[in-house]
Amino acid sequence: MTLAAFASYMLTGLAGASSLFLVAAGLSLIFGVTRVVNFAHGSFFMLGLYLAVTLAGVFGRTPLGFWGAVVCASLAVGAIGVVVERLILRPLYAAPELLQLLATFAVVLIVKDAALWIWGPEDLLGPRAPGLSSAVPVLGRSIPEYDLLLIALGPLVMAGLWLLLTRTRFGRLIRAATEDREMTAALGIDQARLFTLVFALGSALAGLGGALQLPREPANLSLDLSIVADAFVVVVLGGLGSLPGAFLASLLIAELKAFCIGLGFSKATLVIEFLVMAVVLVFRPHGLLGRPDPPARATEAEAGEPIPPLVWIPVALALAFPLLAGGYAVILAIDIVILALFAASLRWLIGPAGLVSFGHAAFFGLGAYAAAIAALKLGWPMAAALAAAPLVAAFGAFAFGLVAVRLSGVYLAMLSLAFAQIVWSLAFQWDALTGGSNGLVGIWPAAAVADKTRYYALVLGLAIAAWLLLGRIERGRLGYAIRAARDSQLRAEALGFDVPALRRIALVISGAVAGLAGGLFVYSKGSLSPETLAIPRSVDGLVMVLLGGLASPLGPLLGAGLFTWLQDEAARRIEFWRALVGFVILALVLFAPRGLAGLLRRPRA
Amino acid sequence: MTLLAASGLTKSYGGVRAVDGVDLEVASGEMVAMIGPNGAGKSTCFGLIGGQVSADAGKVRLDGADLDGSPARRARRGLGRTFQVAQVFASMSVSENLAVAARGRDTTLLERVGLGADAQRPAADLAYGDIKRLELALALATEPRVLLMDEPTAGMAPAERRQLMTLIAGLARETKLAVLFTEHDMDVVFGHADRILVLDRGKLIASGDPSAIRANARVREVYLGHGDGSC
Repeated sequence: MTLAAFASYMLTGLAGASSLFLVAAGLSLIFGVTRVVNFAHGSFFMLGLYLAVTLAGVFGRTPLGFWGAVVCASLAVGAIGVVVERLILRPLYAAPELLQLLATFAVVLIVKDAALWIWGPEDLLGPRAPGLSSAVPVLGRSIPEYDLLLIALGPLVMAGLWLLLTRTRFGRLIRAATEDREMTAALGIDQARLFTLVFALGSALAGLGGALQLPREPANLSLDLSIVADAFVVVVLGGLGSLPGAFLASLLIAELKAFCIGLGFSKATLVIEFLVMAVVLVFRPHGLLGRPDPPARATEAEAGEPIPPLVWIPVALALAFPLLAGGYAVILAIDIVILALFAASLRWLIGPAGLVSFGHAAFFGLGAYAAAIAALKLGWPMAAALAAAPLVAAFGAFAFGLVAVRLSGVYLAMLSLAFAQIVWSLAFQWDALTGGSNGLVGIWPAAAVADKTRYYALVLGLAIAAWLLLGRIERGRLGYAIRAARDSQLRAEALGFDVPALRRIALVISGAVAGLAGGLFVYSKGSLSPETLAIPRSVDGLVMVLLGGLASPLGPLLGAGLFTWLQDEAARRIEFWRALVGFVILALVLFAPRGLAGLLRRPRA
Repeated sequence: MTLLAASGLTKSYGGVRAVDGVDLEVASGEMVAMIGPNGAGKSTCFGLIGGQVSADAGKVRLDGADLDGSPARRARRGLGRTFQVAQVFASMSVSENLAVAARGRDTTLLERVGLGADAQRPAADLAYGDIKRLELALALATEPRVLLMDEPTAGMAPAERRQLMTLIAGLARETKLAVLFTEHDMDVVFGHADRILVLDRGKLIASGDPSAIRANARVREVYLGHGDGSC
């Protein structure tokens, strides 16, 4: 590599680091003060860019118009942040973090559809910055002037935030609240107002990050999730709540990216990025500059009350109905039961084991790809291919467990997201084995179960067997030990339980069941693509689990049933079905946080 | 016979030596109290013995063999403990808690600690004194050879305190259990300990039977803060 090439990659990386830092700084500030991991942060970034494109068009192609658009877009996103905080997050500050994450994911869905409605599905390219549209030669290579401006802007914003945090009363309150929320409340500080202001500031920073991308990339509807995944990596890598950490991590990630692309390994970028994160987290579980975890709130530390037996009758009838009815009901029922099995594996992990996974689709996808590859590339019969699915997924879960089980709370959730991204990018890029973005086609069930009704019977039989097995484990000695490790790690260890080993076992069991669901899924569709294990499927799983409620083993079935039916109905009839799903999630999180099964439960004496 | 022996236990946080070269021994069947003002290093000492806190220096031995590694490993070697803030399994009922700890052993511990009538109640619904009692039952359910108790009677009325400590003293004699405990209630300490260790600012400043400790001028000065012996 020549010096010129090195310098040019370095500068490209620095420019990227600035916008990444803006987004990550906002996320970090919000987390530090409110302890909410804001999934919608990427949506705020996306809105900032869309608004800037529109405003730049209105304000005209002058420097004032351009920078006016950038500033106004940022402020507008800050205002949207206030609305979101007031309406959605305020009632949820004391709720388990899973509910908060889900609520902010509902915002992602609603914002995405709002953007689709307002700006349409086409990518929108903004104007170039007037006066900064040419390139400057650096060591014989040309660097866009705008990039140089961005390079300067990152440290400037960092310095501005530093001054704000150290020299103003507002900043001191933010630091005090980040340090000890209860204490600031006890000192009579108006927390509600502080939270709103911090949320406004964080959102405005994300909006600014987006708006500044105006001349660099087109506004598009997939920015939200891609940028939030990046921001998660940066914030976790730097240490949650630490601004200098976020700055350092932004530099590291953006430089890694720039060099990977520059040196021609663009395909490996994601894998390298997430591997770096995994390595850092194994050695420094709280990130580069982070401090020990805030204690995780239990997801649901209550005993699972039995579901009244009468509820099982309609459920059994509903499951049996498609066997007689045939037709579309069978196809829908296959989807529902497979996803219910997937959701059951996730509930087992989040509920009894207390491990929140944000990347559970990785295990579903590992199972699906294992079955498909065994069938297509190795020519295995269906029974063998289906058996390979849970085994490969369990192995994946074991590997993930080696690095992950010592982490807790949000760190574990984020590392699981990272793991899912690695698996996704493997599926996406390993053309020879996985068919890359085209995926694999022509995976059909054996003749005996080729008929849809028969296939449903097979799926139902295997799913019921897996449910019964999970239930048995949960109520047995192992299940109690795993719950004990969740309830109190200190106590469990003091009684001689090997807590990391218990968590690994829980993870492997969960991964195997998710893998079985993936295997069944691929035979029901006949094909699969990397979509099968992308972030949205992981979130679908979370939504189903939350919809059904964590406390009861019946929850995943109810959740998957309602979610799949709703998605199917809505996707066929309503253009903006994602937003509808978002509103349903919000309604559930705000008004029925214990899920459908919680509504059915007998009130506790 | 000495069952638990610690030598040279040392732990610093930042520049502060929380525990500074502490040596101690507890014999089987013996009840030893560790006392000292707040911040003297009692809980850190327990953490060092239990493995919850990693030591800067020092050694712990159980029955002559090194006791090291994770808390779980030490527990399996026969070390039971309770915590200053009692730790039980909040999502389970009282009897489920005990079943997890006992791992299939038959046990009448719930009745013995006085929770027999509460067996079916969710642990989360218990009063704090009862949570302390449940935690003690959990620690005893593993049939430990050494028991560390961090403020076992916090949250209980005086009569209950005496009752609980009498129970533990009985168990210690009966099963040759070595007991090391911290306690703020001096009636409990002087009424039940065979021997007392006094810790101040991380260092062991005195050790002896209750009458010797009562008479020790340095203890009065450092621990009680005044010379008249009342507390």
